[in-house]
Amino acid sequence: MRDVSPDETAYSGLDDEELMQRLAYRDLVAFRALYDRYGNLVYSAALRVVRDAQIAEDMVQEIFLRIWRKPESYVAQRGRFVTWLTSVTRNRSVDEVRSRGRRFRHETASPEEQERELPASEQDDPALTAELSDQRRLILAALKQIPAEQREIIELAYFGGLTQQEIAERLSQPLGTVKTRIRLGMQKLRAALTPELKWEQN
Amino acid sequence: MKCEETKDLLDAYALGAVDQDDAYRLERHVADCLECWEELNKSRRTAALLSLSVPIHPAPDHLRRRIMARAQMEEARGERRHLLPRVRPTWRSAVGAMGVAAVGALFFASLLQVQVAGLRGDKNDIAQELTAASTQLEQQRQIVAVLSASDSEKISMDSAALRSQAESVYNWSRDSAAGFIVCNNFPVLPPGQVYQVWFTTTGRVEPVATFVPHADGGCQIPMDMTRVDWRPGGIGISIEPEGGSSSPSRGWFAYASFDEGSRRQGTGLHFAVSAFGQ
Repeated sequence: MRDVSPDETAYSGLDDEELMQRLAYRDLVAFRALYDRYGNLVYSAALRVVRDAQIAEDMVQEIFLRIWRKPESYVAQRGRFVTWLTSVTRNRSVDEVRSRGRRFRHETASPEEQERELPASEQDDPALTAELSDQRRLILAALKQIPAEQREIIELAYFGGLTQQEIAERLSQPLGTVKTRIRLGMQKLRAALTPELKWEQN
Repeated sequence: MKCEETKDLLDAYALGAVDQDDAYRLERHVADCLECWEELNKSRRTAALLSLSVPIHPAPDHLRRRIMARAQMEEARGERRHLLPRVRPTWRSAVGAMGVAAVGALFFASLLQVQVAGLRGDKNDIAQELTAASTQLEQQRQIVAVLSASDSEKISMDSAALRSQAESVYNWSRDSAAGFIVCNNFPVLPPGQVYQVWFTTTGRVEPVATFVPHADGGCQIPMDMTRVDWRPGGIGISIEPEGGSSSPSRGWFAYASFDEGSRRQGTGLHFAVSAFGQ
């Protein structure tokens, strides 16, 4: 256990948006509270894309320091903080993988190999709120419901950073099939996650 | 792009899986079509939820310590908005800067004692950061002093090359004995070459600083003028070998005259290559 000063326990009562507002005052304790809440999640999101612990650490450092320097880059009206944070992490990590080019391991490993490297774990993050943990379970359940061939393509696109064309080449499937599978899979996902999407809109 | 084609692509676009041409055409359509825009938002929110689905791996403890130490250090430097480029001052300003750097390093060292212990193996990096931090702090102090001075002035420098995209502006304050150059689109120089800044007057050209712009061609170059005990008639930038030269070896890359008349006309065009006999 790390030391928790009385100061820090007071911050656990603040929601994400309030912590972000505190960052505008250069409040380091708020920054630490935000990291303690989402450091694991951001690290995991980066690792899911870059598949290298060292690069994932670099991503986490860059993203959190960017938030520290420019808290105003998060606009509350556009959606919930946590999904903004993990989306930013995914986007930045995909850029990193792309900029490292095709020699990068991730580009050369087959999708099956990639999945074996990082087996999906059911382990939960104790730092997340019960609400968010529940939501994660719902999303994982929704993903399990859609056919494996659709899920695989969606994950290759989103986490692998591949275009439809690249996925078609990688999997030796016609481009039309890839496009259809993305559409069908996303439709099912959207239907299964309707309550979560409403929340996201607020 | 029509609605039908757009709707076929929205999910792939939200997942980041369409190529640049299609992405561009889709964005153009969505800009004008409210219905497709709403559909796109739904796709985007669905895709964003995927980012929450990742298997959890605990982030290492040393990462937390490193990030917190850096945040605290940036706060102490007051440099959270932007980082300054590398500046290699010539002896003229280096003498003054080194004194400040020494005091600054002690100040930051005391602030960071606790943090340094947590940064295993990074001690050499920290020592370098401390020196860099105190130099940057001094540079920022100069910039703020110039901008907030009541006698703050600025002048655009003209680029010698025709059709050059390079822009540079010199800001200064005589009261603060400081100035700085802001540049944009400066060409990246081959290894072994730097830009060098000079003050000029008739028959006299004195080096002020050398610099290497950011990779994007931008820069902010602060200049200490406490030791410039004469009144310069102009400011010039030339391209020199690394380490700088004692006199400009070629013509100006950019130049501005402080002459009132040319400043009013806004040209400042004194390509005084002849000023130093070239």
